[in-house]
Amino acid sequence: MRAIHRKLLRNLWVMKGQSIAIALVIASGIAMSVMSLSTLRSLQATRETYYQRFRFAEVFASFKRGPLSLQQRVEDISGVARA
Amino acid sequence: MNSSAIAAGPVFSARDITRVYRMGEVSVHALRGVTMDLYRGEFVVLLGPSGSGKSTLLNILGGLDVPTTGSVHFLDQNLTQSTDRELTQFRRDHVGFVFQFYNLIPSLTARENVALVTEIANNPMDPAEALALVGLEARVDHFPAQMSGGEQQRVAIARAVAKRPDVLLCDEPTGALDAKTGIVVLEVIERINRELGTTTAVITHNAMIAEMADRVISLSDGRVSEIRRNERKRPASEIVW
Ligand SMILES: Nc1ncnc2c1ncn2[C@@H]1O[C@H](COP(=O)(O)OP(=O)(O)OP(=O)(O)O)[C@@H](O)[C@H]1O
Ligand SMILES: [Mg+2]
Repeated sequence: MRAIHRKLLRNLWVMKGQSIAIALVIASGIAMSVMSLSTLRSLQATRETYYQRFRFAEVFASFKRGPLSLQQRVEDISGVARA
Repeated sequence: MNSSAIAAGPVFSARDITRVYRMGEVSVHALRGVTMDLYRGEFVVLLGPSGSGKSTLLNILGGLDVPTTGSVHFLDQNLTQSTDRELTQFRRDHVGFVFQFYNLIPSLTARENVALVTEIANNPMDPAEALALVGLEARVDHFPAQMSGGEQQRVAIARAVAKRPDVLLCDEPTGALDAKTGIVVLEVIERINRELGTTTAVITHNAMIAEMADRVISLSDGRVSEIRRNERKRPASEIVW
C-alpha cells in the first residue's frame, strides 16, 4: 500500500463518525436507485407477460373483402398469431 | 566547489528577472532585475532583509513561480517558457524543497512522509537510508507530533533529498529553530551538499550562516547588491549566533 493511501485511511479513521455518515448517505442513495430501477424493470416484465398471456396483439391489420384463399398465406407469415 | 564546475557551465542561470505582484491598484516589485548563476555542487546562501525578494527568487528558481520578465534556465531547459505540466515534471525530477515550517503530513510517520516522495521518484533512496543520512534512523516510525522542531526539519530534509535531486532549495530552514537545533539542521544540509554533491541554496536572515557558503548572494530591495565568495568555508558546527 502506498503512503498516500495510508494517509487517506488514517484521515478517514480520524473522522470516522463523518466517514460513516457519508458512507451511509451514499449507500442509501445507491439502494434507492437500485430499488427504483428494479421496480421499473419488474413492472415492464409484468406488462410483457400479461400481454403475452392474454394474446394482446402488438399490431392489428384489418382489411375488407379479401379472397378467403389469402387467409392461409397470411397465417404463414412468421409472427402472425391468427388470421 | 572547484573550478571545473564553473567551466561546465551553470546549473541555473537567471537573467534580468523581475517579478511584479499586482493586486488591484497597487503593484509590488518583488524583484527588479536579478541576474545570477548557480553552479553544480556549490553551496550558496541568499542573504537579505525581510521583503528583499529572497523567497520570490527561490520560488522562481524552483519552478514554483514564474518571473514577470527575464529568463531562467535549468541546464538546457527554459523554465520561463515551460508549461505548468513541464514545471511540475521539472520540480519532481530535479528539485528538493525545504521550508521554514516543515510541511510534514501529520498522519504519516517519518518513513511514510519520505516514502510519499520516493514512490513517485525515478531513482530514489530507500526512505530509511534518507532518514539515516539526517541522523534519524531511530525515529523512522515516529509521527511528526512525536518529534521536536529540529527533528521534523530533518525529516523534511530527508524527504527533499530522498529523490536525489540536482538542487536543494531551502527557505529559512532554521527560521523556527533555536541556535543549537539550527546548527544540527545546518550540519545536515552541509553534509548533503558535501556527500551527495547536491547544489544547495539556502535563504537566511542570519549573516553568520553565510560563513558556511561557497558564495553569498545578497539581495536588497529586489536587486542583487553583492556577490561574495568565501575564501574559507566555516563548518556549521563552528557557527555561533
Ligand atoms: N503572493 C504575493 N502577493 C503580493 N506580494 C507579494 C507576494 N509574495 C511576496 N510579495 C511581496 O514581495 C516582496 C518580496 O517578498 P519575499 O517573500 O520574496 O521576501 P523575502 O526576502 O523572502 O522576505 P522574508 O525574509 O520576510 O521571508 C515583499 O514586499 C512582499 O510583500
Ligand atoms: Mg521569505
